[in-house]
Amino acid sequence: MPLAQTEAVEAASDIDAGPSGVEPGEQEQERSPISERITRYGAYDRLEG
Amino acid sequence: MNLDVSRGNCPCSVRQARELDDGCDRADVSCPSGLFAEVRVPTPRPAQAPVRFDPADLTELYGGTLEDVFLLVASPAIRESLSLSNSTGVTIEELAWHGPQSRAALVDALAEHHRSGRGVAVLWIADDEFEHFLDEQLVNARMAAISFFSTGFTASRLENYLRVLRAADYRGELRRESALLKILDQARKLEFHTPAFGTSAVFEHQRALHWFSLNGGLSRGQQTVLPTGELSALTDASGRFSMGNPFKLNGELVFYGAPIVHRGSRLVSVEETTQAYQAFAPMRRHPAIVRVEDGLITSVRAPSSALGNDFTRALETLFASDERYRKVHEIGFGTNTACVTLEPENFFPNERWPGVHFGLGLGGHTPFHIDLTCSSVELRAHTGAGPIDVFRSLGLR
Repeated sequence: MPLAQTEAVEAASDIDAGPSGVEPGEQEQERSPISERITRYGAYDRLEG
Repeated sequence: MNLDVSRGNCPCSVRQARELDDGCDRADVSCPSGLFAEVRVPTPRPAQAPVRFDPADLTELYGGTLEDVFLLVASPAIRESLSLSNSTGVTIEELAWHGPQSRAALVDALAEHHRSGRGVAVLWIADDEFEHFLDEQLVNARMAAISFFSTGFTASRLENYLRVLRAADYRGELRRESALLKILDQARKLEFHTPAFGTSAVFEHQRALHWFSLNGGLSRGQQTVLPTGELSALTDASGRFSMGNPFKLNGELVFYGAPIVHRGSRLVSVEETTQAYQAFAPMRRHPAIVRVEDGLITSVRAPSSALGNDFTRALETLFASDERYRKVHEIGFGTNTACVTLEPENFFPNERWPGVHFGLGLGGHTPFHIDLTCSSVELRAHTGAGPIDVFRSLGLR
């Protein structure tokens, strides 16, 4: 695993469940690179008018 | 009051603190403090019809093809302002949009083309809210929308939109996004800083769960409100808004640049949206420094006056009206080089300006969604190899 990617995983691993309200299933998502979990042209802007 | 704003030496690109504090000599509207309802609204410019349009202008938006059929869906008043030409000879069909009741006809038209094996490139232009279609309704279609739901339609606004769409570099957006994502994946944290004020805020972006791309040409099945050119993180899933899952964002941000006020629902009028925009328009001349603690804006101040300025007072009024606006709901990274000039009006493409914007509130939940494009905020990514000036590395500075 490239160093940078290792760091990203470490950063995600540092996270406490804490008060953020993150569900356990969602927290697991944090471990994958952002580039692998973006929604492309999804419904994000539906309510932006 | 018509706005007559000279381009070029615009304070939107000024980065020196002294100049920021002094504002500039541009003609501008003033914004009385207090409720947004008291804000004076300038008279819209008269329409300048016709607006020339050729589907060929948007070929790259649709991924290099106008498909078998180009379907223009437009409100009647908007259609009247368009002068349509067809240099490629693509089959053009048209459908009038009278509001949500027209949705079924559009879905039926797409389904009929699908049954006949035809692909469709759709351009939807309406003074209405664009609501996304179901994936199964767009199997054979690429859907692009221009909405005047927040501002009302004028021919000059449409001309401005089309200018941006013609000039956009859709392939370049994808290249920039690829480079940006590489940086985001590698970076441990992001830092928003404004050297002129010595401010800094840290975003632990790896903890953000909801990322969205609006970059590049459309493929079949894809739909978007135009223009393209943005990568964003939201605190919540698409269409959702909560206070329970804020960004891990801490420090001070400088809000200075261009506000974009989105009308949050049909319960909010265009007039109210315009008043809200006018209340925030002083952001173009007067910066506000906001303190953010765990994703919530906890204080607002002007850089040089304990009394604040018109923009800081507008923010305070907003937060007093609804505490939910204190949450930074969206952090966006614009990538559209055709949006490099910030237009001095409530112009949605300002959100795609190559740089950072922060979004407060969300349509359907709060009366407005307010994007604050921040031209004095620089983005630094902290990686194991050292800090990266992100927008400079993307060739956008």
